[in-house]
Amino acid sequence: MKRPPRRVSMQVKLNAMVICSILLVALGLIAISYYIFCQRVDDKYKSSLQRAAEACANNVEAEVIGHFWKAVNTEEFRAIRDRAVGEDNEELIRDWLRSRPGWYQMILEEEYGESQQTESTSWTLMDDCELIRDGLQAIKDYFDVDSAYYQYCEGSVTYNIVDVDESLFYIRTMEEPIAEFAGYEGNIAVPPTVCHSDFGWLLTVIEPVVDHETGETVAVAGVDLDMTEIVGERSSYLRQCLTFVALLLSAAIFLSVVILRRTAVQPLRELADAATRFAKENRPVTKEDVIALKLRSNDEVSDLYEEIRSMEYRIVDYTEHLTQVTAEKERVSTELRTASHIQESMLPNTFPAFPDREEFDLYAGMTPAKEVGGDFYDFFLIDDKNLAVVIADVSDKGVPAALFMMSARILINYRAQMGGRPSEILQAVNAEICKNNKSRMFVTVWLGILNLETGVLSCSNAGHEYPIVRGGDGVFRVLKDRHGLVVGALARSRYQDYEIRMEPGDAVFVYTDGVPEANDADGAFYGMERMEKALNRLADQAPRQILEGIKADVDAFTGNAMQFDDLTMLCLEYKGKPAQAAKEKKEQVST
Amino acid sequence: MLNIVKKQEGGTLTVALEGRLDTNTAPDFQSELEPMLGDIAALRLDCEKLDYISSAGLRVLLTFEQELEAQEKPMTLCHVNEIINDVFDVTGFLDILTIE
Repeated sequence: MKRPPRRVSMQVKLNAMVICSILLVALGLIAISYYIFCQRVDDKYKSSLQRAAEACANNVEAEVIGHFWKAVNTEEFRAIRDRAVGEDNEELIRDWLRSRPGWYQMILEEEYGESQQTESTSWTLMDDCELIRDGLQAIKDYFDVDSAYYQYCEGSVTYNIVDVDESLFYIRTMEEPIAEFAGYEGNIAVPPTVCHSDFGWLLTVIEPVVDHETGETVAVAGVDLDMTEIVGERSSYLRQCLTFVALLLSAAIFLSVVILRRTAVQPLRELADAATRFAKENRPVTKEDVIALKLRSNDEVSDLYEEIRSMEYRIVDYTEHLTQVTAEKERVSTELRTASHIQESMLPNTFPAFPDREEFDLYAGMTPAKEVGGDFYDFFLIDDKNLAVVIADVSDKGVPAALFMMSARILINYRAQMGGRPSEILQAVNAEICKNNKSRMFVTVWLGILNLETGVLSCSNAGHEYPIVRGGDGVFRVLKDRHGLVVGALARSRYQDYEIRMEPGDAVFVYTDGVPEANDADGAFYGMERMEKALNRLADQAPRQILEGIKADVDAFTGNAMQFDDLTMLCLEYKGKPAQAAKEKKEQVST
Repeated sequence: MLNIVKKQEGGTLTVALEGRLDTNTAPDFQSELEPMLGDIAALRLDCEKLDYISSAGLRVLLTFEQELEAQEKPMTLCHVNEIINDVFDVTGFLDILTIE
């Protein structure tokens, strides 16, 4: 199952985006500026160191260094120096020098000859050394380097002659070669080089000290700078940058949070809340419920707001319309129910209909398919000995059919009361209906007038279903009577009469097409055959039982299928003239 | 359900009906053909596949018949099967319809 994505607020997303962008830009700028800064700092230090080394190389008389080097580069001196360093006793060297008066002068004499001896009688090795060292110290201070020294190489061995940090003038040998200097021969210039050694992590520059008279390199001058100083400067720059960016970033984040909240997130949230309020409204919404916000911006949010607003207005309109339509529908349906009531109550529906007449028994019923139907039946006494029976089916269904049915029923009833044969009645009614029948509706009518004295049933059929008659043998049979055209179709229609001579116990069953054409769920018809069979199963029953039995049989057939057409049936049984029956009885008694 | 297949040959419009012509289908049938009645010379309804006709269907036939009669144009029905013929017989429509 796919889980819905976790809910993350717009504010968080937008802010995260802004912060990420700022951070990215800031880090990029820092990286670039740091790189440039490092280059600059390195260059500055390197050139400064270079100048320091050159100054050292030029600051000293190559001759002096040469003499000095010669003077101290003896086994004896080295031994006493090592002892002095080992015992941390500088006096040992001074004592040694005192014990050898004239030793240094002797070296000098070898170089400069007699003439200068007198001037430099008082001159000592210590003095020379201090002088050289003072020079180095000045340069060191001036260029702010960490150490400065003179040295001389012989093969792989390097002798430090004077070192500014050593309190003694001395010779120090370095026999371990330094890896970074592997490519250099001794006593030549070395450009700024970074190296790791026993002395630490240093940037070193070496310049040769050249005797200009002889063109000989007597020593080299070296200066060192501690790399940690450079690195410190670099990292301090980085720290400053980061601090500054952090401050800027916090300000930017704060601004972005505030601005985004005000311009995007807050309006959206308000919009969503307002829309939710509208959507969750329980009662029907009205124009007052439509969202009304004060948005200061003119952007996508305000577009959305306008869209939601117009949508809600449409919903309100629609709701109002729907309410009206529903009310209208309710009203129509109420009216239809009332119409159905009226229609029902207009058909004679109290049974037994004529409790005081013993000559016949009659039962009828109608089940409309819609609220109002187009079928009708009717029966009434024209005079004391004539009973009219009508069954009719108006084309189509619903309200138009019901209206048509009402007028047809009244016309037939009135015309029949005026007397005449059934065909005359139908002709007159047909002519009347055809006069003004724009809707071209028509009605099938079967009309029978039973003479209660003679049992003669005069009938006329205007396009209606065949009547089914139960004769003397007690079997219901379809009577294929003569048919005229339906009433209302043609003004010139002519109808014919026929007679059924009924004996006491005979019956006639009339119906509308809704009965044989009742459908089951598969669309099959109930049919005439089923109806006839059902009638004959009920042949010995009274009209009421027969109708109820047929209705039950039709219902059983159709099952759950919807009723398409009105179901209307009427059954009339002739029982004979009671007076005659009484007379016959009397005669029997008298004989 | 009612399928209506129209075919015009010369001035004669032949309409083949298939299915049921009842309360549900009659209004469509009427509205589909009624506007054409003025432009044709004759109407021929083929009822071979018509399974059922109710009074609503008869009403439409009556309407067409009378409109065409007023214009003196013939309306004929052909291939009328037994079920439909029975309905025409019972309702007396056999007297006013021309059936081939």
